[in-house]
Amino acid sequence: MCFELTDFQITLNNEALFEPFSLHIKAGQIGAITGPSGSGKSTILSDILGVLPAIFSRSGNIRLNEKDITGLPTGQRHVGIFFQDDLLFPHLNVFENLVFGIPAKLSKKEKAQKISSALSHAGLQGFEKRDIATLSGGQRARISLLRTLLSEPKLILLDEPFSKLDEELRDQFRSWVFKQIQLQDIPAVLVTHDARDIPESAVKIELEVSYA
Amino acid sequence: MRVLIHLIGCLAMTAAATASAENWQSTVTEAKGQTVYFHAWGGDENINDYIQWAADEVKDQYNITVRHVKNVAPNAVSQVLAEKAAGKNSGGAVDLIWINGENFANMKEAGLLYGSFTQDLPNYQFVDTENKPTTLYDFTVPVDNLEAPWGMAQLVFMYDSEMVANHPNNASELLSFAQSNPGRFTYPAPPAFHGTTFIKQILLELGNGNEALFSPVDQADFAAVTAPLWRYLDQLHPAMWQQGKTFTDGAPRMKQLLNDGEIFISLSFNPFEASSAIANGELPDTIRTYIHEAGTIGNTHFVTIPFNASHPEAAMVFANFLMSPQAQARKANADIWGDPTVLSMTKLNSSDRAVFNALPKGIATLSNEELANVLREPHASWVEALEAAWLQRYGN
Amino acid sequence: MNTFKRLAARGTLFGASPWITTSIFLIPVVVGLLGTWLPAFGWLPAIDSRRFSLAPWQQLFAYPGADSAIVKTLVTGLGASALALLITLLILIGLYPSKIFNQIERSLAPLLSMPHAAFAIGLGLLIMPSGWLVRLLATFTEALSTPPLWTTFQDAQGISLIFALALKEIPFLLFMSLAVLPTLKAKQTLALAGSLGHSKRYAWTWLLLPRLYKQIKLPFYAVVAYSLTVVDIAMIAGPTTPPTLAVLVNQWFYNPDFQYRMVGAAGATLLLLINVVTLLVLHLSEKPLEKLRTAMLNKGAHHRKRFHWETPAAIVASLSLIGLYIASILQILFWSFASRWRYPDLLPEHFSLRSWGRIFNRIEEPFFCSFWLAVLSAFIALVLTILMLENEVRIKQRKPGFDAQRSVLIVYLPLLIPQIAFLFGFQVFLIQTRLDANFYSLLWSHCVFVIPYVFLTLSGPYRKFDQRYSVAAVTLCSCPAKSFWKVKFQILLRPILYAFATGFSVSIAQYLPTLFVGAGKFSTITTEAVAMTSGSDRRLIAVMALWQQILPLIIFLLATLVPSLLFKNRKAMQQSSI
Repeated sequence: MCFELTDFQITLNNEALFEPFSLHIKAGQIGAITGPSGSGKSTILSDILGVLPAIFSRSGNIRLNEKDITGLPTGQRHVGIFFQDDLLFPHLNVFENLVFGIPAKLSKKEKAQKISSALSHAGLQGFEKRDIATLSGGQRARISLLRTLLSEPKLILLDEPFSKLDEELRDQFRSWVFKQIQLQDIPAVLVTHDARDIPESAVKIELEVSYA
Repeated sequence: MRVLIHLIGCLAMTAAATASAENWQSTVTEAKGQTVYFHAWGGDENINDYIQWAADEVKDQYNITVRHVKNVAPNAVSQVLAEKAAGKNSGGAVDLIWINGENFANMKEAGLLYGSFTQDLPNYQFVDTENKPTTLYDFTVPVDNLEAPWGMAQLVFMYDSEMVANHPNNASELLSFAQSNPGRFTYPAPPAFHGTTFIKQILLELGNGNEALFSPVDQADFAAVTAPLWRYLDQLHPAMWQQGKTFTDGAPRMKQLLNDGEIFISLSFNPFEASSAIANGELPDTIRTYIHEAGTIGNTHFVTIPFNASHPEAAMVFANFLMSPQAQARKANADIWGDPTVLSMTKLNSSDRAVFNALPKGIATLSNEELANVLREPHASWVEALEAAWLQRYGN
Repeated sequence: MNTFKRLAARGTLFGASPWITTSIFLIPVVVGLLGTWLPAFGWLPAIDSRRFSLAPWQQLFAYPGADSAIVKTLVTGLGASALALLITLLILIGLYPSKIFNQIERSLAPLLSMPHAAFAIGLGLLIMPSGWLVRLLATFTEALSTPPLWTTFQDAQGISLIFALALKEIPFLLFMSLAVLPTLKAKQTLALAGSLGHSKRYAWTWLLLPRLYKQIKLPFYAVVAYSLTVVDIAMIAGPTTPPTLAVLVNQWFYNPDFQYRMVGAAGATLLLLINVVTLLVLHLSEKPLEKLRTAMLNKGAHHRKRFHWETPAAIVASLSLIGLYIASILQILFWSFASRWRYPDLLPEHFSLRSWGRIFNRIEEPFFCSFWLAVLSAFIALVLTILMLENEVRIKQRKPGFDAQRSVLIVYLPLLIPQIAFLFGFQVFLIQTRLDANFYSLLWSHCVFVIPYVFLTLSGPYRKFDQRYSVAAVTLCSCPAKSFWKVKFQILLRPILYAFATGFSVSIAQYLPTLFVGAGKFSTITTEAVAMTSGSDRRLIAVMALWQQILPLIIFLLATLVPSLLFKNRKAMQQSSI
């Protein structure tokens, strides 16, 4: 499993948002993109997801496992995303949220087993029937990441994943997230403005804002 | 020579009668299986029930389906007008309309009517055209056999005898009643039908048979002729319900106010209405009716066929049935509807006459003798002029 | 360009939806407006008038009381809308969130389902000089043995009309606010403001109301347009000499003299103009008001925590509102079972089932006709509305600055003009194309009036939906359809059902379209009820009014109950707890 961006650049009205760059990450590895706000970090993620607004245009390639994915609709890219807001579905309970992304080919029983073991890994054993609204911020963040991982993405995008958590929770959650990604053995792209969020082993890209 | 002419005349008449009998038979045959969309006001369940009964009868007798469309006349006219505008000259949605007065006059003028047909209806011979001239002149407009007489109407006053010991007998007594019982009388604002009729009634009474009223309005000195009316109304209004600042929108609303006790005297165009309303509990049994000593305005209501009716034959058969002694007698029954007949008792055979004579009249209905005093309508052109002048004075 | 093609190919249905809707609208609206405007300038071939002139306008302005009718229209229409908005906001400020508010929320369905005319009649039976309230007084004093000569209803100034309209619109505005309150995060804002030492009033006036107003602006505009053009309530509760312009227009159209149709058409055009100008003024005054607000906020307009009069006032207002509705519906209910009922009796002399019995044997056909028209038109309207709103989402993705509001203005046109003027042209068109008097045309005409309400009920919450939920869902399950039905649709279920219920009840209430387009061949509960109302028998009027209310009541109850039950254990999905 690998993910690469080559000579990647996004322009708006013929003005580049940043200098072109390339990024190559392998399974279990994290590519960290930093840069000042307005430099287009989140726009890069939108493009990888396939929801780039048409006013932008891109040059360069996006390849996941050697395959160009730029022509694929969002649903077929097998890219998972984790936002700063947990975006758990408020009308579903924990189990229903988690089962939402699990591939349909699995049996009911297998799905239940997967969820139960994932929850206990996350220290949330027996939370299946809980209402999302009754959980703490940290619990919700963990379930949200689990939900993304359970959908078995081939790449995971992390959009300012820790910025809304308080200091104490943040350190704890950060190392838990990276561990999960390693366990899952997929590449990950992290976007953040905070250097503390970037693990040592990450491939780092700092966007250079291009001024026309 | 004179004899000969008479003879030829007789022969011609007999031939015509035979021919029309044959024609009628073919009309009835043609009408079989047809559906009549009958647009008629549906605000009175007694009337709705009666129409349903008539529909059931013609289904049995002629295999005609009648669908009562509970519409108000201008909407039905509007439908026909829209069809004319769109060039739909046959297959129209309206087969028969309950109508009279201005709506008839306008349809006639705009060429929206089917044509003369009542002369071919067998029951038309029983209509009392001699003593009920309004069956020939609808608001003074010649009917010309374009609409079939259905029922008679006459302005009567309904009053609560518990509250009014001596009812007024003329316009000026009505004014004194209002002044000594402020707030207890009202009339609908023209151009509502009953309102316009009321001011015509007052004008006729105050004008004391002024002949100018029966000629077109533009030949008269409108201001001079109507001056007594405005003087009268100027005095009446402050003594009326809501000081004459608010008017009702029609007779149905006045009937409610009479039941509520807000007003003590109301108007109706149906001499039987009080009795039948008492019978069904809509009005208290202390309600009685009266008319003014000079008489009151009377007229006739009709059914007519639009120019593009889908099933004119069935409409004619139904119109004919509505004029039959059987249907007219049932309609005149105060327990069922209570709508005076258009037929002449002298033209009926004795058994039909007996049915009419045996009808219950109801406790609040005046006798035929008392009602006999019918005033002629002013010339039709007065209506619009009076309405406009009324609105000018009291409409803002 | 490539992207565009791709998106267009992917979203054919979405891309087509505005066109489908527009064509559903464009034909009736264009022929309706032409059918109004041409006669307004003397062109009415149906009566052989084929010369353009300003005569109808001259006649209009020369008509006795026309100027006073225009003034009354503005006073009552604007007065009623303003009053309705103020009381709605008062109830929100004073009572949201609270237990009492939850009670009010629960009572909204029956209030909303009450037919307009029935409510006005019930209100009249309550407050007129021989009404129930005076009868109550009469039990204490001999002086009221006959109804007093007071003016409490149908006053010449239109005060009772203002109240009747406002009372009818408050539940609608509350209902619309409920659908958007969660997106405003009102509770959090209130708590935050409280922790900063600001009063609830401060938080509402300066922080929440402006945002709430933006959300319920369209429903409020609909209230304004409705109040300016309403005919039935104005005829029951309004002044008479002259009445409001809408009633006058109606009278002109009903005048047996066909010439008056052109005056009526001019009047309808004038009413449209009044409507447009009024709404434009409201719209343009937003920015200055917003500036004023910011200025005052920056100046530190600070309310100290003092006596909070809004809460008691809101309690009084909502209790009176609910009380008046209950009392009105009781009037109707008692009348439907009365055999005789006179002043000063508080209750009918005798009760009887006779009136119900008389109606019962002929109710089936109109009942089902109403039901199918309402279900189908509300469903079509809902599908088209959702498609259009989804299309907006897609356009916004391409062009983030896209102003969705403006593109759908045509949808609202049918609300701005009295139906009677609008429908004649449409009727002629249908007859010309031989599409008249069939069920599908009738359904079409209902859609024209149902879609605007469904659209304005749903568009606020729909546009507020956090689209990232959908993105998250698609990345999770790889299936756009599943992500729509299982996530977006369900999270929006409550506003979607509200919109359906609103559309349903709008269809039930249609009278003139049924008559004009159906050519009298279809009878609905409402055509029967209106026919009955033109008569004098209050008992039968009451029975029909109750029949008219049954279907909307059931649908509104379902629309409130179903989401509550489905999401019983989901705190975030409970309306008042967000």
